Amino acid sequence: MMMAQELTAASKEGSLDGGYAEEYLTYTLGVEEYAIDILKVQEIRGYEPPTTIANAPPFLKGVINLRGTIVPIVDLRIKFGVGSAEYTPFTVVIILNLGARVVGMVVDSVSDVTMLRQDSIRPAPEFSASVDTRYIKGLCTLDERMLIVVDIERLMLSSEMALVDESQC
Amino acid sequence: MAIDLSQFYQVFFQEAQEHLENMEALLLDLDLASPDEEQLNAIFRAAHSIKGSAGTFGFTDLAEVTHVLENLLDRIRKGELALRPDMIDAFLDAGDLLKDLLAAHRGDGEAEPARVAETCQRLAALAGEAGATERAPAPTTEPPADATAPAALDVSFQLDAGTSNADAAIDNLVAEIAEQWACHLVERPIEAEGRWRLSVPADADPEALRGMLEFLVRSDSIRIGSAEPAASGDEAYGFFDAEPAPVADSGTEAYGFFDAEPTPAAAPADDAWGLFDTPAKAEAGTPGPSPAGTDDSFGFFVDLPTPAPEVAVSPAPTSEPAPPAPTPVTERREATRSERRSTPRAAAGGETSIRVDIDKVDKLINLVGELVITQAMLAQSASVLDPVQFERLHNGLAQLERNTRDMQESVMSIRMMPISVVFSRFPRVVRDLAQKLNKQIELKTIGEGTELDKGLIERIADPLTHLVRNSLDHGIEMPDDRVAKGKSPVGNITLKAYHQGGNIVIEVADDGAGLDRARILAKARERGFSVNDQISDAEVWLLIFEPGFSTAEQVTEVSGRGVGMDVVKRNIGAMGGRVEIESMRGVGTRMTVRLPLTLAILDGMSVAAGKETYIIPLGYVVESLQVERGMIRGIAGVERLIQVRGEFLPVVTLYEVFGIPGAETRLDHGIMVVVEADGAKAALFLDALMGQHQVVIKSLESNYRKVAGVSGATIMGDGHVALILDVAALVQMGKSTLRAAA
Repeated sequence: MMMAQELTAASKEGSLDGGYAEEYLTYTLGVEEYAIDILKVQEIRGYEPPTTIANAPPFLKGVINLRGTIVPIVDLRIKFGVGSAEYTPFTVVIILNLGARVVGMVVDSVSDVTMLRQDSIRPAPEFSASVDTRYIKGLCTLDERMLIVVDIERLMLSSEMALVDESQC
Repeated sequence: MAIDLSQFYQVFFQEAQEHLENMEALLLDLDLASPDEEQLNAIFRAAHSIKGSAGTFGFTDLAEVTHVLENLLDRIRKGELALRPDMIDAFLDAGDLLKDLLAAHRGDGEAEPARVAETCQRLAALAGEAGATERAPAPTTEPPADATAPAALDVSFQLDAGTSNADAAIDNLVAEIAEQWACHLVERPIEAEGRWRLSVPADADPEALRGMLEFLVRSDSIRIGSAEPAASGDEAYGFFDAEPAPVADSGTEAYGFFDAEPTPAAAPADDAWGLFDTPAKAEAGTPGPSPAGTDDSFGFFVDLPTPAPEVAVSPAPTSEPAPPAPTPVTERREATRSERRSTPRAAAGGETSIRVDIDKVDKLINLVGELVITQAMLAQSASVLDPVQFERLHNGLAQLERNTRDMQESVMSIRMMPISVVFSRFPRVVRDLAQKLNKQIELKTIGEGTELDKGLIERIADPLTHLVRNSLDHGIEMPDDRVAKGKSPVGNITLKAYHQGGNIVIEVADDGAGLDRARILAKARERGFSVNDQISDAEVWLLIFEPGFSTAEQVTEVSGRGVGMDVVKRNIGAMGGRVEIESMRGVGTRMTVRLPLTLAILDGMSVAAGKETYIIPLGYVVESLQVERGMIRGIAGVERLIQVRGEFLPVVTLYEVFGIPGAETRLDHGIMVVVEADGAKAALFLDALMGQHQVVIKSLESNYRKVAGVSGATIMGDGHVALILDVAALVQMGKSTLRAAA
């Protein structure tokens, strides 16, 4: 009963101002802060050296064994040339579940899980972020910080990331 | 009230499929001269089951075909008709039609009403119904006004005493039945306890009807009989509407007909309702009413040919009991009996196997694989602990290891299926083909119980069929030729499966003409292959696997187009297997297919290059050796060849192909693994051999993409991922280096 009330309260809160709120996971790459839909996140785990794959682009670190599934690991820091691509015990990998595919990405740090209202996400102007604006859903201010909301599925499955066979793009 | 039947469709399709396969196997097994009664009964039961459920689900075309089929079978099984080869053909055709219809209902393929009608006609003709459809005029006792119109079933029942709002409930019921069959209410009772009567066309399936009714009404009150005829028959002899016991009784009195079998005097109400459920069926199976008793040669009624026409002529003989009546009785009783007999068997079968989605099994296999790895890691960590202090921990871990191994083994065995699943299709293939080619073939299968992975079973079927057809078409000679050669006119094809090492071996052998070396060589030259007369037989035989190669003198429907053998080889190769041919002129040919036991597990050799570990599938490995300087030959200043026992092999260096840092680059310091794929050899150069493992194959493509030179990945004992080398691709690279050098 309590649960139900809380849920209703939450959904009411979420529906204020006509926009509905969704939860986002925020992470940093260099000085930029990004937000991705939390429903695409399967888990967050520490970095372990993957098995390298021959002739793969440098940002593709290799593949790891995630409980019996072979999962490719992408280092976004190398891909976008930000931050320092060092691997410490604190380096984290966000495991994404994108429909049928599971992909891991290395970022500088994971910051928070926050609620963002849809109408608070403003369309992004043409600007030079590390990530191509094609994959940016919009911008959002949160406590004086700017979040770049990324369409992570589109980004990861794009031909740019070379995670998918060309024929499937 | 309305139940969504579609949720049961899948079950029905699977069951029907099984029944059909079962039926086909039994049909092929039948001894024409003296058919085994039990087999006939089993075939009948299969047809009957399909008919029953098809009716329930409203697949009328299926029900129709099985119905005619069942009629014919019924007569054979009762000994009224002798079994003839053309009947078997007709049955098999009907089986094919049913399969197609099933497929059509499933959503693939098209139903062909014309074929349905044609098959029904053919079966009906065989059953001696002279072109009549099975929906012949119902009860003989009363010729209906319109001979072609289907007679109606009269359904009567009482409502549960407690049913409120009876009128609405009945309206609903009628509407529901009307969705399938034109149905209308005949009589509404005045008092609450009275009987309701419905009229339903005779083609309605009584079982289905009863099922619908049972939701609403008292099941013991349901009576289904023929309508108008029943009404008049009622008056005439009080026969059709009567309770079961009197029927049996009068039958007994009249003919002493049931003496042999115990009369179900105390027949439960359940048996009774079905008594008249299929007048049409009874009719179809009864020669009596057919035009003036011309067919009175059928065993059953031979002694009583006269009453039948008599009844037909005078519809209301009061004293003389209607002769066809006993037929439905016996039939029904037999059917009930066989149902009763089959029920416990079916129940037992249900307990011994369950249907499980293959994905679930694969998931289970994955999880167990994980468990094994976790267990290995635990064992690794515990091995540094003091055995005395941690004795119990060590014991526990040892126990855990045993249990996980056992578990892995049993889980793997879930995917294993006997090869009989594949072999069972061949009797039919061989029979049809032999007939088409006018050859006489005897097919022998050995080792049907040999088990292999389900994934392989599905993929081996087509290549095997091809090999069998090939043997039949090209291998076995025409009967006359065989006799001329002093062989029996009947050719033998033997299918044999057995385990050998970690492989399953399937042989397709024939005692036919054997391969013709000269002709293959001539053909090879014609096709522009560079061959010389010196090559060994084995190499000559391998030529027939080349694309576009066929030695058949003329292209037939069966084979000779030259597509096929190469596909066979490719398909088998894709499964990690290989084909070998042995042949002797005039004696026969044997094709041997060797396959790994499962697709999911591979015997591999782990090798190291730099810090990386790779797996080479053991099947490709010929030998491994350490080369000396003198064996290395350079081309254009680059060391690209090694000479092994007079043979020059191209060297494929893993560190170059995969760009591995820190790997050994001096050819005489590392190890050469000689591999062979697609008939070509190459030497893989790497740092060291590490060991031999059985590895579980994981796809790299499910989350990533295809990587050149890598066919998959696996998880090693320490939880790390190792890549499995695509040997065929690497050998290809070796070839191209050679070509580039040349």
